[in-house]
Amino acid sequence: MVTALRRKVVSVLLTLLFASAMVFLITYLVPGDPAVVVAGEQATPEQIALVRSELGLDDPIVEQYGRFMWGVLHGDLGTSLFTREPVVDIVARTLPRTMELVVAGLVVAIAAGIPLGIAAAMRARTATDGVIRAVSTAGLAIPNFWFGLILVSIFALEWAVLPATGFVSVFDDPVEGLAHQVLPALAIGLTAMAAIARQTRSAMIEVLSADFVRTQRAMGVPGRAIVWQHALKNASIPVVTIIGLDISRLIGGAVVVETVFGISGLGGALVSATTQRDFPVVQGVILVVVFLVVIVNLLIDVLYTWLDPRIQGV
Amino acid sequence: MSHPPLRRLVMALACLLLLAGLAACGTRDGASADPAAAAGPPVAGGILRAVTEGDPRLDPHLGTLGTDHYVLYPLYDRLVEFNPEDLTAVPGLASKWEYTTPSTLVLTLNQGVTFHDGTPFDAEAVKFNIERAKNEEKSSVKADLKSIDSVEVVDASTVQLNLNRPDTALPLVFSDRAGMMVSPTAVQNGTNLDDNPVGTGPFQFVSRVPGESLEYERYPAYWRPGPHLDGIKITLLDDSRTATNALVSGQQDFIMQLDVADKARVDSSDAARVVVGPSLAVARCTFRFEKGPFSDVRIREAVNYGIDRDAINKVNTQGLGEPANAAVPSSHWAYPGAAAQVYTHDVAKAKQLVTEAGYPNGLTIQTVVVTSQDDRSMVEAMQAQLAEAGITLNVTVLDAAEAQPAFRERGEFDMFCIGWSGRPDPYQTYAALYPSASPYVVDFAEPAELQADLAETVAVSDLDQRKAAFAKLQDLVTRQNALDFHVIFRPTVQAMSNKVGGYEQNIYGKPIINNVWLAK
Repeated sequence: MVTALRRKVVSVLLTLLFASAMVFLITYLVPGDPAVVVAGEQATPEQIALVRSELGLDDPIVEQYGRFMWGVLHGDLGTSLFTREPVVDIVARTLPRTMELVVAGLVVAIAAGIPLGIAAAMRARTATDGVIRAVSTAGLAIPNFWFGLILVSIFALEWAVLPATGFVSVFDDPVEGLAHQVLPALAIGLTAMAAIARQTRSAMIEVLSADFVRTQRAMGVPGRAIVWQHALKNASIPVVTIIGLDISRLIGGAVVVETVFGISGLGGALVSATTQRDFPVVQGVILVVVFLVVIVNLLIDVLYTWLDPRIQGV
Repeated sequence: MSHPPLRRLVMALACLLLLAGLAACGTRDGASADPAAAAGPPVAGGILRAVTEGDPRLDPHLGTLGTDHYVLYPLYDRLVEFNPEDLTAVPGLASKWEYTTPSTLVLTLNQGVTFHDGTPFDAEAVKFNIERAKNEEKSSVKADLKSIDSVEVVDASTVQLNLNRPDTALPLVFSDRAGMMVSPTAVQNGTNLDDNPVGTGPFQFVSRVPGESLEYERYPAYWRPGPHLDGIKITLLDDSRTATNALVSGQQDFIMQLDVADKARVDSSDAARVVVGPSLAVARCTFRFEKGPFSDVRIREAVNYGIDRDAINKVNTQGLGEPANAAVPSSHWAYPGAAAQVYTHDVAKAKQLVTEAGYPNGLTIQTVVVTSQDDRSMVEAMQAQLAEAGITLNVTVLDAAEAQPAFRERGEFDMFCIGWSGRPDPYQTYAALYPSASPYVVDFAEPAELQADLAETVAVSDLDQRKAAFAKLQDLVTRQNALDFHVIFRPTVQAMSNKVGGYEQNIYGKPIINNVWLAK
């Protein structure tokens, strides 16, 4: 187990190294010159050249990458070309909001997705199952930004019961925090909820038809206990897998949903940095996101062995 | 086995989706508020919550974004201000100005003005500012101040500018970035004005979160009757739709620039209203002159005849903008009248010009347009119209960071469509867009008369004479050489809560919120 974990950590580090190189290369290869943007629309070629050399953009790419990695190893992700704010500070400011949003979305997705999946499995091929399947298919098909807009028009504009934009942390103000996060969490969690419901349904149908369930029924174990204590745990591996994938997807979805709700999170920082060609911010933010995704995957792997001791791979 | 809670959850979700569908189809009646009736008499106090776009730089001499001004005006007074309706110069920090010779401009300054850090605003401060704006390596306003040779302090409230040529554009140049006065003490102490701006404006800087928000508070020692508000909190939101939601739901009070597409949503709200007016911001395309089809003036004329500016204006701005045939819109003091009405929509004429230029079977123009939705839909409309004249536009959409080097440095594309936000003095616009040295043209041999005609527009102070000189210059660039491909002036659109009073729109198109108030 320890050896396996060590092997896993090495592979995580290699993944991060590879990702950093890819991120760096992609920003380098993307057409568009940050110096042109920084210097502004009326800049002379001399001013642009000055900016370029000041930003170190005319150094060889290997040197630039070396400088970037040296900084990363020292906890320095560089500095925004535009605001000159350290990227670490930008991440420190925006990441907690995005993570809170992702967690809120995940809570919505799990709290609604698993019961819906179970309900559908227990009434497979009935009207209830049909409705749940229709809802989850719609959930997968509806873009989350559109759903967000719809939620805003109903709950914020039409009924005026929840705020339309902005973000308040539940740690700063639980009531305001919840009020601000309900709609974004629903918007961002819809797709994940749908995916979890579908996965739970199919896994549960399979488990509920297994021999041990029939035996338990025959032995008079109450239905509720069979479902929640025995069947669900046996059905949980594929569900946990889909939840792991959903976390990555939620982080991606946050980019768009943050824009709809005017939340200054990691996504917003990434979008504006990309349009401005603010490479250090793009590189730093993506690296942090990659790190998060890799860590989530690692945790999911660990969770597998807890759920099913037969899995020793870690 | 029955699970009522589950069933209820299913029903709730189904209802939510149904509701979502209904809301998407629903409409509200479009009762629009009467702007004049809104907000009543001035009220003191309150914090205005305003939304703007972009991540502004707060050093007025170094920033480059056209949207920076919205957040700079409350912090920095300008030497000269402008009449919001026709953009003629009116006193600001300078109470008057006079050309004692054609190359000598004397400014008389208001007294008793102080910067937010207590530094007195005087002739020395003006000298420091002009020299900074002129000499700072990365200054974005250098070009505007080229005519100034030296700045002399005559006495504490009088400054004399010695010019290397007559330049009557300077007063209005001083109503823009170049005339925004920063505290010399702050600069000399090494303060970074982007992080800690210090001006003489009605509001002083409190704090900033990059990419998120700015906070200003009223400057108690302001030299003019103070502002009504206690402060301004500016939120940066790039998405106009999100900003609209925040306004309509009462989370924000003012949107600095609203997309025309979102106007109807504000119109249908009982709590907010929209103010629309003309602006100097023009949607235009620039040609590659030295090679390709546009090296022939007839093709440049053909595209000008081939587009229907009225139709584009109706589609693109809901008719709120103005068809553009000159550097300034019709309400501007320098509007050149007949010189601006050369190219009317005439497909037959466009076709004939294309044939005469040696393309009897039509031609294809490689066009690049920046990613802005407004510019893209404008080019799509042009595409359809020009097709009737046998001109095919092959359109590539790139963002500005990529389009500019592609067009200017790498020699790609025949035509580049990107907006121009305008400048207070029309001379600045003509001098920026047409001479060979302009960064907006590539390898371009300017018409022989251009420099002489340009100089004429700044040789005299009298507005009628300047207007005549601009008309002559416009005739040179439009009728004689078709250097221009202006399409429409975009409207300037602000949206605000009905509690906001005292807002006055200006045709520069950049909102000034210094004097608004908030009704209780």
